[in-house]
Amino acid sequence: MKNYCFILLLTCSAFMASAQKKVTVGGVVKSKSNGETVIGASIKVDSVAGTLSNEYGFYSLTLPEGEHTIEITSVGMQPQYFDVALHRDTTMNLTLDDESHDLKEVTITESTGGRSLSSAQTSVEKLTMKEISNIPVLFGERDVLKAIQLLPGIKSAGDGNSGMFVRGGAADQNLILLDEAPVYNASHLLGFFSTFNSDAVKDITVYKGGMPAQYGGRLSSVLDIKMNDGNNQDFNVSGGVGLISAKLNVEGPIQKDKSSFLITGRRTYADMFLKLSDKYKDNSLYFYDLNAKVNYILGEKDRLYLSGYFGKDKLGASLGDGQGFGMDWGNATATLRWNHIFSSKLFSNTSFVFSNYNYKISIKTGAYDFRIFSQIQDFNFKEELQWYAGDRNTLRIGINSIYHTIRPGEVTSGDESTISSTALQKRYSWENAAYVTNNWKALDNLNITYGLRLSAFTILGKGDFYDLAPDGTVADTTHYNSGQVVKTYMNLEPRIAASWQFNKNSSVKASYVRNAQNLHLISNSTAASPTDKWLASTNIIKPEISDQVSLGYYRNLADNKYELTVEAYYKTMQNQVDYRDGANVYSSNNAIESELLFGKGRSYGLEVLLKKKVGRLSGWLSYTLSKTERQIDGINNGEWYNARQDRTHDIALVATYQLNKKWTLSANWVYYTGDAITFPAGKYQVDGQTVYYYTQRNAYRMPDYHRLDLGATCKLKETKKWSHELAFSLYNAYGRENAYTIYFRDNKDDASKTEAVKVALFKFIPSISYNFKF
Amino acid sequence: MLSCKIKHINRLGIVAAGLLLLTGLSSCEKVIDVKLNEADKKIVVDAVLTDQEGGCMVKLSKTKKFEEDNSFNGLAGAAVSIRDENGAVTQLTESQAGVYKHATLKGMPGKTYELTISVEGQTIKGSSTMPEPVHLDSVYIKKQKFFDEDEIFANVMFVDPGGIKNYYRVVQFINGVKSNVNFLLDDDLSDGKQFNSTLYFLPDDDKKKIKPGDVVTIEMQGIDAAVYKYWFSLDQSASGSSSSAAPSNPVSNLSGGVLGYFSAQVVQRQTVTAP
Repeated sequence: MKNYCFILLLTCSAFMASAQKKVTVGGVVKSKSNGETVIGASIKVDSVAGTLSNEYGFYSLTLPEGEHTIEITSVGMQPQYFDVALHRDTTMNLTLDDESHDLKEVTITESTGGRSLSSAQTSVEKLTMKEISNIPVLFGERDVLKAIQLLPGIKSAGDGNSGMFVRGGAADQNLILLDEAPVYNASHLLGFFSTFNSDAVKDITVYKGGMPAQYGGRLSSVLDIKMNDGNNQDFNVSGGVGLISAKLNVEGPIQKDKSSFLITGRRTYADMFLKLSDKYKDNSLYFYDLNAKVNYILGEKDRLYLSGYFGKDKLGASLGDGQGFGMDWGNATATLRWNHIFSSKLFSNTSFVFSNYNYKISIKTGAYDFRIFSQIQDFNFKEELQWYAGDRNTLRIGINSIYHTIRPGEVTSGDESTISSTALQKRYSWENAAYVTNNWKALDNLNITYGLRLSAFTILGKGDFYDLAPDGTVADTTHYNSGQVVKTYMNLEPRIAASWQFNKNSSVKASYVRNAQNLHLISNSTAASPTDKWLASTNIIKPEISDQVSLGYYRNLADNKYELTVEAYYKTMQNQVDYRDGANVYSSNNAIESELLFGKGRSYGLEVLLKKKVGRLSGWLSYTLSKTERQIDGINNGEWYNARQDRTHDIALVATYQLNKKWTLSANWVYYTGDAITFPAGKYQVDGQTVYYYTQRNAYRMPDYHRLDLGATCKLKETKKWSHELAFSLYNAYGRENAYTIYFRDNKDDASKTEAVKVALFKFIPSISYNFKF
Repeated sequence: MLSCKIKHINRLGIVAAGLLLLTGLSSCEKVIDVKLNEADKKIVVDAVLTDQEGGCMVKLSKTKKFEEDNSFNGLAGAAVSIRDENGAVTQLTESQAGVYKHATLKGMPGKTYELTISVEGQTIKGSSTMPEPVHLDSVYIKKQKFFDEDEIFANVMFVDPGGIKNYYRVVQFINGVKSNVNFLLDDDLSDGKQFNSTLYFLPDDDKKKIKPGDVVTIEMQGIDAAVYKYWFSLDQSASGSSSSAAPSNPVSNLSGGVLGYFSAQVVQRQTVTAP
């Protein structure tokens, strides 16, 4: 019966639409308890899907004049209903209350799980901090990057590793943004932890395909992480102490309702234990990071945000007598943003972003005394307008301009050192983009998003640029002066997506996206290394380009308790970069291109996600079937070969069970086909040394990987004023010895034999952490 | 040289990860069975011409299956010759199956030599230029702290001649047994500098380390750029180690799609006893 009314209403409104006067209502959606803006809140009008709040909580609706019921829902929040009478364009800020913690089932709405059936956006994953908070983790360190690896199409770079591969892309093809600032190295401690302190994170959105036109510069994915703004209602202190790290978060109003601040810090202290042991007392190994943010509401229409991140890893080994090796690396980012609401229909954001990554190595041993420094630094300006042009069109128009400076390597040396001071030439480039995109509600059940991004990458002097002979050696060198344009690469990147909603419970969507990438990370090791090299495109290194189509089917099941997502994709990649065999990564040769090879890639797959969103038992099952290949002249005789991250099957099962008010239990199980790797086809002796003979690239497989993790959280006390809890986890609960690497060697006792050796890292890792909040 | 240092740093990273793991967990190593596909046997050339009489030796063999033993699988019946810049061709004679030698042939620094091998109906060619010798001033052995452990390492001292590219390979013998490591040095960032380099050697087995009283022989080879590349790429991607992302065959300076190298090199040796 209700459905009939619904259809009748739709039909009526469609007929009356042209006859009636339209008014616009717009504003910001906020949380009542802490004043944080709410991203992606679903706003319905008279039970009909309306809009979603944007990344700053802003929404705008164009409605027929008259009385309406507005319903807002968001994950972890109690739905709110407002009855409004609209007669003219109105500004209306909406507030939402946190969900109560009792166990009774909350009303289930389409948007409770965050995914929208009607939106044209495909290939997007969202995780809430609530979903992440109960997943059992390595060393008890909650980690947003590891959590998203449990979703289909996103693969972990290895055991305990925060690096990831999305839909067959390489690790450097993920655009990782923290409050709009690109983060060039998102890992700590050789990849075991990510740079994101989950306490400071508000929202994570991952685009695996169909990237909206406002994002560009990387081929495979966009990981958009937004930091909390800071509570503008009350002071809050929260923190935690775990086995290897401690963290503290302080936030509160500077001026209630108007401005707030947030500071979050984290430091590992594994090295403190090292200090206790005589053997390692002179060595250091730790990381820390600091997130800070302030924001000011300048009036009804303006808001300023200033946010920053600073993180550093330090590693040092003593060789005695004041000699030793040391290495430190880290990211720093700063973002200044200004939101301005021109009208309830027009929203503007202006951003100035600074981003820096560098590493330093110092070596003092014998006659060697030198330091190596390398850096990539960005100055970035963005302007975007969001124009809610009517009840059927929402436009985004923007520009982005980034100036990159790369210092590939500089050696400074002591006077007596064997090594001379030297520097590889700095590289300068200017990356510009303009985009326009429109969300068009073509029919009530047909949404189409179409847009275009024009990117221009200008390589600037000063510096020498090269022409190479076919064998890779330098044939000619051209010098460019400071500011002189070496070359500009222009790319038109179309972005198209459409959704067709069959009924209340199901829809299909399709998208096509092209991405261009002009910064390339090249690595010659399996593990993420802080010394992996960022290179900008040159006259020889062409922009990487990917084209991806995806098609998806989305269905809500059992009264919206479950949601099912099935997506298929096909992606091609051009101008992929790899090292030549025997490349010397650390040479003083400026013509790095002579050490590189270029080729292409392709990737396709099917992803299934079944999610249970509500109830005492929640969680998801994800499955990916996929294939990823590369073809590079000069590797594997120029034939297609499996990329290392080609894993046929990838399964993750994540479950959280709320036993009672005190205890929450959780478990996750992952299984995936072993990585494609290269094993020798034979061996031989050269100058008394065993050398391995290789025929095909990545023709073998590591053993299949699987692992079960268990977790439990015990709420010791929870009141409005203060709460604390203990979190237990057991990583790799059944002690599977997953192969981290496999290597080959002569048998220790009988050098006439060779053997294969498997190295496994994490087996039964228990951890406990204590978290508090007041 | 820099690359060697960086390799230490990477090794350091692995040690660091190890330290991290110390805090409550352990990594474990296990010998496993892997099923490897069989490939066609390939010819392997291990060819050296030195500046000393009797130093010329070309070893020909074929690749073996992984499960087979490591013994030398000599390839007999080849015609092996070395031609100098003046066109003089010297035939080598087979002293044992697969080992081709010449009692008196030696190379001259600065000259280029061409190796020609005819075997199994195939012709293999390669050329190499013998570098000017650089005097090995001294070899000494010193105890040094390494991660707060006392370790004994050999050190070499020499002065690199300025203005030209030089490449060195240093080989270490402990009581006559060759250590399974290549110390590769270059003057990329050290042109004309005094070298005083520690030969860091951390074998998987303590028995293979230098102990007081051991007789240590250091052989310093001056090699050309292509041979340096061969050893560099061998170390990087064909030594079986796990850190390389992409194992591959070393970059050879020989034609005919064979494995191995031909090096015209200058050689010096010094022997010291570990204190």
